[in-house]
Amino acid sequence: MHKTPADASTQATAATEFAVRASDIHKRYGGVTALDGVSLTVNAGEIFGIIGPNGAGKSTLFDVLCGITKATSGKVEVLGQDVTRMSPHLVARSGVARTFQRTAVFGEATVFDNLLYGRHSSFRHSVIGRIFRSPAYRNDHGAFEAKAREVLAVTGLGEDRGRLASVLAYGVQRRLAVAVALMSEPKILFLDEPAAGMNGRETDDFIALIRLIAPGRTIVIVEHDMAVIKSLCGRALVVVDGRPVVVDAPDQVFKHAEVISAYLGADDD
Amino acid sequence: MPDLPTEAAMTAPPAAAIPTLAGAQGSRVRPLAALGVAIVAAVLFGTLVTNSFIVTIAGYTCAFSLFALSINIMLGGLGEVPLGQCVFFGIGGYGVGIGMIKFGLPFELAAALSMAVSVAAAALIGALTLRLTGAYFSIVSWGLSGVALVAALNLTDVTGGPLGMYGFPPITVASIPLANPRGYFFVTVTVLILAVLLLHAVRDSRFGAAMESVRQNRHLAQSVGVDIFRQRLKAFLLSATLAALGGALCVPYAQIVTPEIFSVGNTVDALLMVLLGGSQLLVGPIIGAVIFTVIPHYLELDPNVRILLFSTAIVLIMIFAPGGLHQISSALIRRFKRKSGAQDPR
Amino acid sequence: MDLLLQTLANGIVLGAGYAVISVGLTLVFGILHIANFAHGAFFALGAYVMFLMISLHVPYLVALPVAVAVVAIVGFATETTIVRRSLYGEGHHGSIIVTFALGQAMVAALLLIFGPDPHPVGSPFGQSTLSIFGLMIAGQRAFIFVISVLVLSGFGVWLRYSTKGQQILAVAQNPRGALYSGINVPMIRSVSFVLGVAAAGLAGGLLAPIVTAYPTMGHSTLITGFTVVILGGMGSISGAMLGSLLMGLANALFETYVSVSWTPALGWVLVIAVLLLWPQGLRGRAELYRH
Repeated sequence: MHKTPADASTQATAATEFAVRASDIHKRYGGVTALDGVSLTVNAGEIFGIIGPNGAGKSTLFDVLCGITKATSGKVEVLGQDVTRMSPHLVARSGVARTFQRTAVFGEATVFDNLLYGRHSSFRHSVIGRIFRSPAYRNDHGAFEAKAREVLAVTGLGEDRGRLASVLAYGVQRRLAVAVALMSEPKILFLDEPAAGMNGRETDDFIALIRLIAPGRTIVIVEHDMAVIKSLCGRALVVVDGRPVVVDAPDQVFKHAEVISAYLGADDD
Repeated sequence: MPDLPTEAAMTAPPAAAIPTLAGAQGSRVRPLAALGVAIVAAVLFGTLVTNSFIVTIAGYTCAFSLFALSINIMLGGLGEVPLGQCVFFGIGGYGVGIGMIKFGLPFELAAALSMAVSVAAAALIGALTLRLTGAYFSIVSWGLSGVALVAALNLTDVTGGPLGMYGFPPITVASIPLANPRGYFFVTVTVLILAVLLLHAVRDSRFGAAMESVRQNRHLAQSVGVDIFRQRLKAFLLSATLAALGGALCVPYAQIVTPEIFSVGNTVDALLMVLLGGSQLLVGPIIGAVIFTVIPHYLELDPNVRILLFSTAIVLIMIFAPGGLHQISSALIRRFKRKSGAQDPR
Repeated sequence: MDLLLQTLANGIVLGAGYAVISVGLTLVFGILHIANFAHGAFFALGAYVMFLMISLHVPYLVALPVAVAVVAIVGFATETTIVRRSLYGEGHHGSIIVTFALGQAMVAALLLIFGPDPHPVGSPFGQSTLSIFGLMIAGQRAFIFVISVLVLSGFGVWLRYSTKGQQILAVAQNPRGALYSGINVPMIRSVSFVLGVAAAGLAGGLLAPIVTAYPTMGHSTLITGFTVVILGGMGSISGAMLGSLLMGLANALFETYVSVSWTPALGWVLVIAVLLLWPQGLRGRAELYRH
């Protein structure tokens, strides 16, 4: 099933389950207010964008949603669970995966090992089992191999299996980052400026990849690249100075007066 | 659209299907063969070498290597610099001192108890400090060794104060007298080989993979579900045990335990050994230990000269070859053997 | 009561000394996130340069700026040859190991050159005592207090209002952004490192007449410095000053009312306590776990 932006608005009204909900998030660092009362709801299955000028707080919001940073006040719910105070790795295990903008992969490991790291928190076997090849160990690795094959196929990394992550081309590294995220079979995928630094061709490939993996998942994207947002997102939230300004389909959002003035002078494409 | 590879185009997974998780790059020596070589070499060395001074030094090197290995669990394994690791080394030493001299325990029991104390201390310290990373962790680590030093100096009733603990009864392990150079060497080398086997198993395990992923990219590891704090704590406990064991096994050589065991000089020594061998090679610290235990004992260096030279060596290594000998040799090997994949320039 | 007041006075003056030390560290560690474990060694170096010059009959007040200059030069040489080559920032353990080893090497060198025994450093204020409100304050300590206040306020003003100072603050906040705005980040890092180290040297010259010069004198300084920087909140100069005051008072009180021989451990216990209970410090941001 292929989701186009047009599907998303019907999706939004039909969905009763939200995937991510943030309620009145405030985040203060010492004297600086990074987030000033942000609320949002991401519906299950939609591709949701978060945009805003530099320093507007979208990265902070993103970190709060993923559980990496704790909000000063407010509530974050993911898949029905209150994760506001939850430890980041537990948030991850409840079905959330994310990619990072910088240092997106495990640089010193091969592509294959990267995928392994992405998966091993779901392994059940122990050190003893590893040494003696217990049934648990064989189960784990069988499942891992199958998943790895699938993920490598989807992201087109099959031939790069044994290559070191740090020598991969930039666009390929980003795909690897998505691959690693996919290994834990997440229901929600957070993508942090995934298209940053990509050229036109790489961006197109990336958009196609996301479209391919979107069915059955909820995706939240923070981006600067408006082409990505327009092609992928059903709805987008604009954050300016830590405040939410408007949530709507990307075309509508870009017509909003405050959004235009916030971006005046900024070169986005 | 990304080109989807056909099934045939994908390379088949390696037959053994055991992913090799070791962080080291370069040639991977088959473990069993290496083990065999090590055992044979140790046996030959211990039986054939006649100079008892060398054999004793070799034994001490093996014991101190345990300490160096423990530092590398933190440095090469977690990417933290445990400037105060000598706390656990000292607990090992003082455990043996207090256990044998004050309580008349046999060496094995005293050593085991000191390892237990070390683990307990590490659990407590780790629970408090392992949420810190980088410089903060190093500062606190260093600080604790400072506290330990002051404590050892002041708690004269327990530790013998500045003069230390001496006057050990003959130390034996499983009835092997450690005063005998060959006995000392065989015991320490056996322990060392067992320790290396253990670390190798850990490295290839899920725990090892978790640690490696944390070291390479903490935030990414967390976002794939790794409980960073727990993994770090496990690593810390392991390193503390090993350090204490090393400290205990160094006592038969020195025959005295003084507060200096908590001094930063030991950490400098061990750090240098780790860096020289290469922190990414499991046995790197041992290589470094061999080089830097043997040399000073022939040169009879004044302790301050030793610190000066070793510290300078550390600085030079960090500038020119941060990966140590292992990095240098790997680079050389790669130049001769062109391996695909790892060779493509960026 | 008198004892308490005297102790408090001692504490305040002690705090002034710590303030000079810790501002240097704040600049390097708090603002630029470079862990300089050799800070104490530069402190000792400053003291020893003073010792040398005074034995050559250079007047104290002339020797002081010279000592600062010498330490700054050594710091600059160190930074360009060593620190810069080991990776900066991002919590990389490179600078930790390198500066730690450097510090050890410097202290060992001092031990070999001068020996472990303390060398007294003379100062014109050394013999005098001021009496303020009935409290005795050693002349040298009063001098330290005055100099500290002058240097710190001057530095604070410079940091805020001069171009270089503002650039330093910019780099501290956002190295990448600063780079894109055309600021020469490596140069700023050098400057900050040198300034931080020079401050340590100044502190050494100021405190030498009181504690005498001995090679490991920097050790407790380093501890105290880090404690104060963390206590004050990373990157906050005013926080560092407040923290210094508190540390000075804590040390003085502990020494008088509890025990002298355990006092060296106090610094470390405080570092640990502060890091665990109070990671954001008095004035700073709770960003510790990122580094």
